[in-house]
Amino acid sequence: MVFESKNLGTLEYNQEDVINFSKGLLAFEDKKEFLVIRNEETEFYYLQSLEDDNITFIMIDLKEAMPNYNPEVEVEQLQDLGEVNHNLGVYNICTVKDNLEEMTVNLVGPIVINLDTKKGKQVIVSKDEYSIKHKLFS
Amino acid sequence: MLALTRKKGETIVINDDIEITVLGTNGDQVKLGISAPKNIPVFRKEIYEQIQAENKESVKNNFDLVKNYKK
Repeated sequence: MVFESKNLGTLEYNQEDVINFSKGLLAFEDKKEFLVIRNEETEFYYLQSLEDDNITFIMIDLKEAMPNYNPEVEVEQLQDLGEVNHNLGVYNICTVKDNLEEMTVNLVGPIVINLDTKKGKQVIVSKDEYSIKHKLFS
Repeated sequence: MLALTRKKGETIVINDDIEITVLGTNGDQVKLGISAPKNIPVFRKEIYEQIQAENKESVKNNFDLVKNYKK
């Protein structure tokens, strides 16, 4: 299948690539279907809404860039992702404005995706030391 | 909105399994104790509003910067 993204251009995908967010994302509760696209050879990913060609999030996998990032959520909060095995992806939404050095990462509301069931959700991590606008490069 | 008056130490019950107890007051502050099953997320409303605002901000990215980024 093909999807035309305003920000990313033409995307080819299969139905099994679609990640279902049953509750959407905060402020985008009505957007349920997304594609995750890796920005080749970087730690960046895109989260493209399949219901709005203009809604594209930039995400980062912090495993390398911030190895001590340890979001803790109750396992019960992941119930709606289906049975959780080890195949859980955790990504953080980036906000990129004028330059990459100043970009911020939301450490409070990570995106968790069960890669087995293709279900995702934005969870809330209540740790005082985590910022919604964490500057990764400074 | 349902308005209930409670005294310190008194509790309201929501949906059989969520209890909210008034632990105390101090001026205009009210301290609440919340007991809920672990699958019920309980957070201050501000945190939802902050994440909503940040999510809205995050879809206005400068995509070219990230597209052209090489590790």
